[in-house]
Amino acid sequence: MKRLALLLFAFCFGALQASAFTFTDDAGDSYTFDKVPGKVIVLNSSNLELFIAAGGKPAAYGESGTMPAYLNEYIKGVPSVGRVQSPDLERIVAMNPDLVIGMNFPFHISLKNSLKQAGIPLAVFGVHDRNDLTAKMEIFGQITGNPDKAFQKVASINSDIEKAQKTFGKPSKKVLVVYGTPESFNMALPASFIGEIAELAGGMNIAGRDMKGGTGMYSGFVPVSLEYVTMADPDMIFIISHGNKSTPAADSQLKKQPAWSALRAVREGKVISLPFDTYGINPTVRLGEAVLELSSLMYPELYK
Amino acid sequence: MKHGIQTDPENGKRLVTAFFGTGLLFCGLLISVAKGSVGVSLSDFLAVFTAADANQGIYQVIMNIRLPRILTGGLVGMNMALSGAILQSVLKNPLADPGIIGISAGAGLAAMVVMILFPAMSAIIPPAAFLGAVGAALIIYFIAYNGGAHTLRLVLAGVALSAFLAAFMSALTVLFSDRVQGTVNWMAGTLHGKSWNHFYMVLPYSIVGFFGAVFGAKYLNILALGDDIARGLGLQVEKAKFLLTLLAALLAASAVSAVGLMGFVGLIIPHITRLIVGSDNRFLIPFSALFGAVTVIFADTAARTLFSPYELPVGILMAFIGAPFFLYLLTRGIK
Repeated sequence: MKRLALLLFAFCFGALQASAFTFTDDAGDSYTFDKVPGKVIVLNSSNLELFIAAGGKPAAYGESGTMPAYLNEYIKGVPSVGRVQSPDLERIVAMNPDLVIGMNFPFHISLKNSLKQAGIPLAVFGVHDRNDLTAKMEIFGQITGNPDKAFQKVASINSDIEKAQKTFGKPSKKVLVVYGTPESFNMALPASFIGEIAELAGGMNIAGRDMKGGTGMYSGFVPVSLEYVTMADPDMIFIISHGNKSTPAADSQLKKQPAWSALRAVREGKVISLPFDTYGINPTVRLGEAVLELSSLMYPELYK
Repeated sequence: MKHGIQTDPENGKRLVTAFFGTGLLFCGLLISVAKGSVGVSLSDFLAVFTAADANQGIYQVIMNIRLPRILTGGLVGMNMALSGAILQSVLKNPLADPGIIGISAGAGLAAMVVMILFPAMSAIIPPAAFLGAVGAALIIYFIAYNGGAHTLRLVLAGVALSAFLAAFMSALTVLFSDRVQGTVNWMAGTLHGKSWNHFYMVLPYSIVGFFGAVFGAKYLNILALGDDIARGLGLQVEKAKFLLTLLAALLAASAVSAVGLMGFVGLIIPHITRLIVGSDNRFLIPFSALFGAVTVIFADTAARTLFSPYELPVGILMAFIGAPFFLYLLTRGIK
């Protein structure tokens, strides 16, 4: 009997040990939990996607204007703690969560101390690129206590990307990704997330080719000279604006702009506007779908 | 009056300045057409204007991107400088610029509302910004009007309304922080992507504005003597002030609606011009127009070529180069 009790104790202890975990967030702070946190509040939409994809159920969320449709459906019935930019600290503290997950930007980082005083840990994350996505999914798998689900999600994203790459073979389309409106626009460099999606989908981004790299002062989205664009002669132009489009659609607004209208892609109608909630923000766990979709827009003949 | 001009000891200096200014304008035009992120050889360049089957890419770059952009920049610089010069005289305030009569705040808010809330309607950004600018200017004028538009009241009403409108802009920035990226270039003032449609949009205002300002210069000189003296000299002070302010508003609104908020030119160029040619508006006005155009053309050439093929908004570059130059002139003037 005594031996049995000891065995039981050892078993329980072992199980406890197995679920204890430590992770480091993007601000460099380390967090240790002896068990899976039961009540987790997620303040921004990208991290919410990761959390749900890893099998988590958020106790509350922060509202954002850029939530994809499926997420809007999901959060019906989940309490809100205010907007991403200004979460309601009082409501958060009153809920007494085990963990709060925020975005890696100055405002959420500055909330860390206020919440710490109430004994609530706040971890901040942002997904930079595909490799980072895999690393973050691993952490979220630990947080939700569902590492297998997180791993499966990463595997399905990778298989979507491989499927796209097998279909288009060797990249052969020169693309340009424009962000904004024709009156005020930037172009996406390869180092931006949409730049990475475009390249994974088989596009050769003309903004950034034979340029000094797209790092340092110029990274993400920059105004690239239209003269350069004209000479680089892209095959396709993708426009990301804040219009409420849910699916990619042909766009004719550039035809009306004399500076753009002579571009071959514009003349041939190869201008497509992309939905903001997938391509204007980092699609994170929808990366695989986004790559497949963009690839099928670039190489429609191969996807028939 | 004519005799006065001929014996003015400043005349020699003005002639030299006019000569250099015009020279700079032509140099600027030539350099800016020849320089860009796409290198163009002289023979290719000439072929654009002569050969019928010229290199299509180069032709497109020069005729539909570079040239209209440079000309738009020239007009915008001229309009902003003229507007600033007129306002500084009418309001007798050295800190006056088109922003002080609500142009920046009115245009900025209108453009931001369209860019953030109705992004699909981006074609209406220029007319919306124009209406916002002129609307704000008129509101300020009528708030300040009380049996006459007292200059101090005008300035204060301008500051107050601008702050009021800026609050809405801040609110939009905070509530739609994810959409702000699409507006930053416009807010910094850029000629990126401007073409003939923008040029033709600004041109009529530039023509009317330039001749209106040159014609109005003598009234500005009279107003500079003070309202009472001006009235004594037979000037209809209120009517002159209103028409000149309206002219300044239209000039700045047309510029801002085409290229976005461009601060520096309207404030500093009239001062630089004043330090060089003196404060007689008959000279100050046309020279401000000239230097405004020269400044924007040179600044934009730099904005396009410094980090080519990336670009900087010209508004940023102008303040970067222009402000130290202005400080240099200022300290030299004080000695």
